[in-house]
Amino acid sequence: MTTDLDRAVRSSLGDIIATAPQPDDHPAQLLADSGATSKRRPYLAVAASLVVLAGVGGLVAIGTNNDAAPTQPGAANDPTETSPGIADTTTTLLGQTSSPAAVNPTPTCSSTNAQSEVPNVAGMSWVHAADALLAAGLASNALPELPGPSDAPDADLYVIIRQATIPGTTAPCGTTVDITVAYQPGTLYVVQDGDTYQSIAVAQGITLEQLLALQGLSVEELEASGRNASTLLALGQALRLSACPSANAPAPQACSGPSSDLDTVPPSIDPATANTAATTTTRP
Amino acid sequence: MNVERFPSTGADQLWRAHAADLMRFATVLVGPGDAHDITVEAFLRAAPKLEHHPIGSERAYLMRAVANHAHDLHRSRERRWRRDLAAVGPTSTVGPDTFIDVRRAISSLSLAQRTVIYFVYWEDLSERDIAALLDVSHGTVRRHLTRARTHLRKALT
Repeated sequence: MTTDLDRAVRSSLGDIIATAPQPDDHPAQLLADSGATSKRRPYLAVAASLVVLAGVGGLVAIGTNNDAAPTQPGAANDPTETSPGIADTTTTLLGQTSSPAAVNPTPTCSSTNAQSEVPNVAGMSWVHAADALLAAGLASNALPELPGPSDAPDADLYVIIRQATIPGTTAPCGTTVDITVAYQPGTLYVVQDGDTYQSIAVAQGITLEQLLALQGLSVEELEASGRNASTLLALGQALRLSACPSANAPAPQACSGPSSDLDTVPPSIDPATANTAATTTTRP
Repeated sequence: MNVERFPSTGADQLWRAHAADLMRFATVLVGPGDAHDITVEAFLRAAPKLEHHPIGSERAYLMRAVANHAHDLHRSRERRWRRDLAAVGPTSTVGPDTFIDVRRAISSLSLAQRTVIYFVYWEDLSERDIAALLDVSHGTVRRHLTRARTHLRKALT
């Protein structure tokens, strides 16, 4: 009798549950619609914490940020997102939510001509990378490799795949380091000193062609850019080792297509030229 | 100064991890018509708290949020929910619909009874676990379960 009841109830629940609506994939959108301002965007939390960090030092270079942040006009003028105290700064930090906006708070410099050693942030999540750069006294300017899905502006899912300033070199405190962020790039390999495409392909057990294809390159393109499989790779970049990330990635096209090929040539190998490249973006 | 770190489980991850479960639970509570709204509203209320103060079991917290939200609305919507639930058809269209009476009986249970029935028969939790999850006493769970079973048994005979 009890068994009959159990079976009947389970089966009936199964019928009912079969009608359960499918959850849609837009929690961020839902949160935005609901006006839950306190947690609208992870950026706000990031920016707020970075601003607080910057403020702790007490030596904030005021006003250097406004021209540094590539704000789209009107993009950050969401009145619900402003709150007293951090509003002024966050509006310049938060760009269009559909793309990873530049999060570049003002680093704290002990003196105007202090030098900072550039850390290696390749392969780190965007949030951690921005923190690491800030801790070294450097600002960061995040450039999206490809626009991520508009409804998933989750800073945690963006990973640094390249930095324009070679790690280990020094730069004046306050220099802005351009970092390229990719949305859910999947498994990454952080380039170590002495790595070449050839050595990485051997170590990972894949062919050179496969490795290059994952980076959106072919052997011909590589050689056309004056390099080959045994050219030493610059530090400060992370190579893709999988074509597509985790299964719940909402936008497969953001990871499977070739990356924007020769625009994304890794930073040049010679630290001297790299330094000159870095100084062009220097904003003390 | 205590600087709040970026939480490792954002609302997005919470949603992806638990949305399907919450939808199923809500469907048993309020029927397919309102399940989506109830789940989303409950999630939107609960997620900010979870994000800033991570507590042990996010899932239990979100389940409780759905149950509480359904309870908040049950006065105004109970009749609609019963209708929605009673209207659910069999999953399989082959063979006779054996359990139409049981489904109707489930739809006529109280909200609290349906909650307990879901956890007992769908998630196979013990009475003690359900009491812990819903943050009510063991006796309350047993009372709801006994009454629900009595009611369902009538439908079966």
